[in-house]
Amino acid sequence: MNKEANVTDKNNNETVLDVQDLVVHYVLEDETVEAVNGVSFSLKKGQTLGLVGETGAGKTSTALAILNLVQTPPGVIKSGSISVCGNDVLSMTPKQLEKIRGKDVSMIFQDPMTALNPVMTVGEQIAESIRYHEGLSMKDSIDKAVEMLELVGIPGIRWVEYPHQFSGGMKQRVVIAIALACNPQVLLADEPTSALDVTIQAQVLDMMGDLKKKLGTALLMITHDLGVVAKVCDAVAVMYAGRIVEYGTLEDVFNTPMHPYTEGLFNSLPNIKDKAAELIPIPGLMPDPTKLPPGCAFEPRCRYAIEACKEPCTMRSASDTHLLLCTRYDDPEFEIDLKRGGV
Amino acid sequence: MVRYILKRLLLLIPVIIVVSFIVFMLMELTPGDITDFFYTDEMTEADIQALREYFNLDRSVFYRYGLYMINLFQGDLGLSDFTRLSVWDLFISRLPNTLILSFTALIFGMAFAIPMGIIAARKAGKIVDNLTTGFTLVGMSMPVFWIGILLLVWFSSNLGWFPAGHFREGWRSIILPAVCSSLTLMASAARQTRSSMLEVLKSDYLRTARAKGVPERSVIRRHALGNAWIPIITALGTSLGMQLAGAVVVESVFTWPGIGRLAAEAVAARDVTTTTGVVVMTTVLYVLIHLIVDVLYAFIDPRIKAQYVSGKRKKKYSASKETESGSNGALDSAEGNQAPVVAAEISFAPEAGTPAQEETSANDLPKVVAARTETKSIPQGTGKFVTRPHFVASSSLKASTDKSDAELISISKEYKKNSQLKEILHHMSKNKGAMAGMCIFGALILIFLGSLFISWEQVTQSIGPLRTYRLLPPSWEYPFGTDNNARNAFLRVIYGARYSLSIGFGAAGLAALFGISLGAFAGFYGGAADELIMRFSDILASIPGILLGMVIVTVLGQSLPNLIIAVGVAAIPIYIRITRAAILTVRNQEFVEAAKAVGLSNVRIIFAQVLPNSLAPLIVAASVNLGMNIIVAASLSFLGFGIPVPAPEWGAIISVNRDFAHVATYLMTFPGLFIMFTVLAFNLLGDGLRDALDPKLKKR
Repeated sequence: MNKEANVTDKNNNETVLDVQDLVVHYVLEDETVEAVNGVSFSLKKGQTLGLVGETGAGKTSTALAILNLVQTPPGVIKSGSISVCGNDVLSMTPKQLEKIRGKDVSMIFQDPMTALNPVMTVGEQIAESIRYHEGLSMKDSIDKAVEMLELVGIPGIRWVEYPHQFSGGMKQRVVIAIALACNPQVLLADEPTSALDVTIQAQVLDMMGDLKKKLGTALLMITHDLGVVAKVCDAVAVMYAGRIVEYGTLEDVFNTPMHPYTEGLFNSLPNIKDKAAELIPIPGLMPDPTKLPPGCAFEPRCRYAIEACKEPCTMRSASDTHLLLCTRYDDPEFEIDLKRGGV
Repeated sequence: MVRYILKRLLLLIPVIIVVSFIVFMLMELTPGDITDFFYTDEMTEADIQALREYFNLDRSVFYRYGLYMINLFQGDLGLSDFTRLSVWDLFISRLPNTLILSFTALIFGMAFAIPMGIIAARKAGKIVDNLTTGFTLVGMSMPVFWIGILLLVWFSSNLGWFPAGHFREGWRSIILPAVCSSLTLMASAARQTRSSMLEVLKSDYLRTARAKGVPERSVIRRHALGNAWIPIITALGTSLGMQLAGAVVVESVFTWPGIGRLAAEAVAARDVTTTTGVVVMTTVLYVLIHLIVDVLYAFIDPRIKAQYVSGKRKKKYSASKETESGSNGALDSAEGNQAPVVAAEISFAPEAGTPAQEETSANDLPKVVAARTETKSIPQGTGKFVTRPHFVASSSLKASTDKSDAELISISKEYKKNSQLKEILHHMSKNKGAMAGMCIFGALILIFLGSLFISWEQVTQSIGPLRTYRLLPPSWEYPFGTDNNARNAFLRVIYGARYSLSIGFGAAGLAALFGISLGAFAGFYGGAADELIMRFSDILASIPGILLGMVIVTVLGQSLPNLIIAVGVAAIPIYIRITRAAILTVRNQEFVEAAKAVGLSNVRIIFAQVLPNSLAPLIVAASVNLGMNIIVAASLSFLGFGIPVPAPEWGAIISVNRDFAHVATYLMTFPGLFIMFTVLAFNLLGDGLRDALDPKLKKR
């Protein structure tokens, strides 16, 4: 665990992102995919929250909902409230949304290969957001875009090139440059490193860390890689089947994980110190998001499950900072039995 | 870029040689020769001999062809056999008329088609979209000559707004022909715009643009349309090419003195030199349009431009980027305008529909989940059967508890339950368009069966004295009225079903037989065979279908089998291309290797292993081709190159009743509607089959 210093700026405790009871469904012809089912969290200026979970847990849907960019149809934001820098995103008109997207809140997309427009130069794509948000002329915004390219470690003269002329890692940097172009208050990073080679991953993460420090941006880091979380996050939310099942500071979740699912995640990591140790996968599959059980969604795969787990449960707090969603903790004696993997 | 254009222009030379050879030889095969026209009674044996010598008729046909080619490459298209006018002058004097008409139609069509397609894509699934889809399907199913005559009846004879085909009446005379020929272009361009925009609207980079806060207008105009152009331009180019090729139809309807009519007149007069010259020149124009389209791609898409630049630095900044030399391989596939088409065809293969195939390994649980949830989240829940293999694989996962094993097995059972045929039928039954197509098709079969009870006499003999029974309007007794020869129009139209259906299926079958064999051969063996077959296919495809049909019918004589051959030959390249593309995607799969390892013969592997896995795109192409064949055959009949009168082929009925169009429009309306609905049925079925066979292409 190589986390350095606390990044939360104590002088500025302003909440820049607040999500309450967010529910996002995808309504299809004959079924409804319940992607996000009551997610709540908040982010303070300069803070980094890691949103962890398997693919399909609803992480990306959550991020898209924050931008109010869930594809409709079939997506519907059923309920909840989202406030970005004090603006209620869900009640804004399209015109107002255009004003805050990219300026107050922006997003780094998962797949750099498809996230860039193939027929526009990277410079134009970065400059576009500057031009719309800061009202600069095309020429000035290109100048600024060149600066942004340099900032993410790409020679500025390459602004005239098209995405296909860049490698995957370079494209990801361009995507990051687009997201950071207008110094957003909140940055949503959707698996920014999953598509990259391990060597590039470290570079990109370091770069994001530096930029965050420089610009004081709050960061929502979506990932399924616990290593990434350990490296950059202050707080962690573990998502499963559209719900946050465990939420706490990095120390809470990594040192004393409490939810059986979090335990499962850690157990399926290889242990560097003890290579002979058995990997313990989580049995079964994630439940069908169109047919979620009424109770705990993890119950069918949980080795601690009891009858009571089939009833709906609510968030409970284990400490001031540590929240979790598990009925088993009604029993004060209950404890998970963690065979610790190495991160 | 310049090198590429030069290369393409050089490739025109073999095209010219082969096309002129085919047409020249075919025309020479027709009975009679040029001197028939010059014989007079006063001529002596010696005079005739001199005449024959003058036209080199005493030498072999190859000598004459060689002479023709030598002149051709000196830019001399020769003299018309009959009028003794320069073919080049004839062609050049008619060309501007055709070009004016085609470009007016192109501009008119684009002005409507592109906004229509964009709106339909943005309102996908809403009423506007359904209306557009309906319009495009009907527009593509209408025979041009029929709608042309109806336009003339309504706007010229009845309303008198526009002149009836008097070319010299200024701008007003171009309106009706342009509208008429723009309709099919509009339909296909609108359809392409819609599907291309739909594709782009789903793309990640559009989401990126919105996330940046780009205003919606700009998102659509700059980001979406900027990426949607290529298929649209392709559709427009193809339509423009078809306009030129099919100019003969519109020009005949509106008596427009363009190259199409020149060709038709020359073929009808069996004028070898003029026909060869006009067909060669039209082919050159056709190829040039496609070349322009290919060059336009480079201005739209920098990725394509990079291929043209080929190693040379285009911008001084790009110091460190990899050179793109050797990218000509990609360009080769772009030749003959097929680049996007081929790409689309490749994605047709069922294998392409499995999104996570390569990534999914047996111990990669989250990804199996991913594949599954992704499949689930595709709208309309399609694609279940496509992903089936993963679940079979994942059920052998041993690292799970008993309970979840049972779960997995039950999942794999669930996905095994339905056979592919059942799946297809299930998808088709959910698709309203496909169901409508099925219904029309069913009705056609009934009509066809009904027509078997009608005798030849009933459709060719007058029902009574001409004076009383001539041109009767529709009534209970004669539902479609009677024609100028007092024949029962209803029975004639019903009887016509047998011609249209047999031509549609016959020509498609013929083309499929040759096309699939050649395509399979080319795709499976590759190398020189592939190169030869594909060149042949490209050249055949570049001869305008209707012109080729006219020549073939003239050579073979007017009859049903000959019409089937004429239509079928022109359709062969379609099957070659699709089969080859499909085979290429399957060829290197492991089951083919396995079949080779067991020692199966190549022919057996092609027919037993490879082709069944490439069927989906072929079935779709065949059903669309059926409709196209029917329109081409009807057009040929309309032009007088079909089944000889008095056979009641639908196109021929329209042609015969043309002169009475203003007094007895009903005589034209019904056969035209029959053609339209027949073609519509096949187009609807094609769409439905495509959606059912490949969920990935759904609603494109």
